[in-house]
Amino acid sequence: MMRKEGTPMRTLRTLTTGVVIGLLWSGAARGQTVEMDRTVDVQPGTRLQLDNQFGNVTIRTWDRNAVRVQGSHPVGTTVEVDPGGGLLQIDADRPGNHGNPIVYTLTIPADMPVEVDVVQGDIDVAGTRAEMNVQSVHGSVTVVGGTDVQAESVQGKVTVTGARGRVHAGSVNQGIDLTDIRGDVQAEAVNGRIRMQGIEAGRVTAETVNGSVSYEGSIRNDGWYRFSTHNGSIDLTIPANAGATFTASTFNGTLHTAFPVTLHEAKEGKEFTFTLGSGGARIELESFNGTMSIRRPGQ
Amino acid sequence: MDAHPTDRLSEFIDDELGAPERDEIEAHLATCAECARLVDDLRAVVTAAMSVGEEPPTWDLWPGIARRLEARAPGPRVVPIESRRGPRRFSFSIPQLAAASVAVALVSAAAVWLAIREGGAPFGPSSVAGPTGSSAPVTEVSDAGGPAPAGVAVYEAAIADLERLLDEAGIDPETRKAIDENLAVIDQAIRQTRRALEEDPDNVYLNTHLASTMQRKVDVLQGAARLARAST
Repeated sequence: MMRKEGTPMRTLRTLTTGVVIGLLWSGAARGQTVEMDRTVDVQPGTRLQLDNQFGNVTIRTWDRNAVRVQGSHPVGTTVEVDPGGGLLQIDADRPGNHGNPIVYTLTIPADMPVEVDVVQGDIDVAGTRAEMNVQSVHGSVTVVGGTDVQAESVQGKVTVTGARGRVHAGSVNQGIDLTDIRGDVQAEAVNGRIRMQGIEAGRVTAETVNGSVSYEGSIRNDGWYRFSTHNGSIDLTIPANAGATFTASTFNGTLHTAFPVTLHEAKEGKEFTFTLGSGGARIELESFNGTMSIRRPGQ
Repeated sequence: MDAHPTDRLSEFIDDELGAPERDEIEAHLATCAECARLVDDLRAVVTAAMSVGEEPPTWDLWPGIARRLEARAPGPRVVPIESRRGPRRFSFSIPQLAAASVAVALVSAAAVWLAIREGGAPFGPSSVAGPTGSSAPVTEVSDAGGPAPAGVAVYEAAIADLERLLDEAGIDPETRKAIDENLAVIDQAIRQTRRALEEDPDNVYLNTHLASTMQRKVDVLQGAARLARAST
């Protein structure tokens, strides 16, 4: 078999490339990172889409039609910022890892719709007025502001404050906190509590399997409110002048109400119906094992 | 009317009652939020079941499940939706609501496989209907007597298939552990509810609670399966 010898120049290039790759690889392995800071102009209405496997994502807003991308990534990783077609995509050619995360801090137009998916890391978005869809697998999700917000985590806590429009919040293994929401709310957990404060909504659904549910907010005459848990209490704090028809169901739990009402027990000790004021709103409470309480503000 | 008209809600939804009976039920629904919600739920089930798969699915999970079920579960026969012809009539008694709801849950379960192929956000809002063209199992509950064993069996078979799918998907161990722990939480709730139903089989709350808890398990598995796909 004949063996082809390389030229000295080719050999040198090969060696140099190998050394560079080796340095990059060893740098990445040692956790060396590269800082990034770049700004790209975007057209009004452009959406942001960011995928990150490892690392936190923080998003803030400003009044410019531009997106500033700051943060850090491992040596040897390229972060691509691709504006075009009404969509600004940010992604890295390598996913990073536990020791070498890719950390993003973005500054975006306040009206820019946001879609962020993170596998391992927290998401923190504040200041936007636009639609948001943010999801983390192993990390908390915190949203302040936004219109029509979908915020979800498998293993992290989900917190939404000051959102408008429809809000869907979900966490499988942690709790959900919703505060100062103006719009319809859907909150779903499995192994975590759901806490809602300052809610102005015509339709609210909050369901968990193992955790408490609490609601403090308005009750609209034409509204529909449903709160359900298997293991946990339900605490409802509603205006003294609320008008609603209640249905409360339990198997091993109890019902307490601070309102002077006459309970109709459809099933003794287990299913109750009663009416407050006009009876306009429909409120359903279900706790298999827990206590259900209906209070006035301040009680 | 003091008692819940649960045995006539199906005919009410199908508009098959005479005017006096219809008026009587409407008056009851106006004052009974529980029955009003049941009617809403039943209509959602019927709408979901009727909205799926008139066309043969391009990818059909259902025949395998149906074969296993028919071998496993005596009682009401399970009928794939594509075999039905002409206008459908769906009749439900309230103890069978769990089965009907589980049929809807399975529409979601079937959607999992489609989602795995087509992508989609994990753990999104629960849907009550699968995508058009998906294979939609329907449990034949109208002729069944007693509480809905076929619906529950269909559910259990679908859960088993989803769990096997997760095993094959190779989801990362930490996430899988968390999902398994949460599934155990749901399973415990299901067991407690079933025990309660043995004491009180006609309890409307317990039946709907069982169905919604089963649906939650399907939702979690559905989200996990989508997640597995998104992570690979």
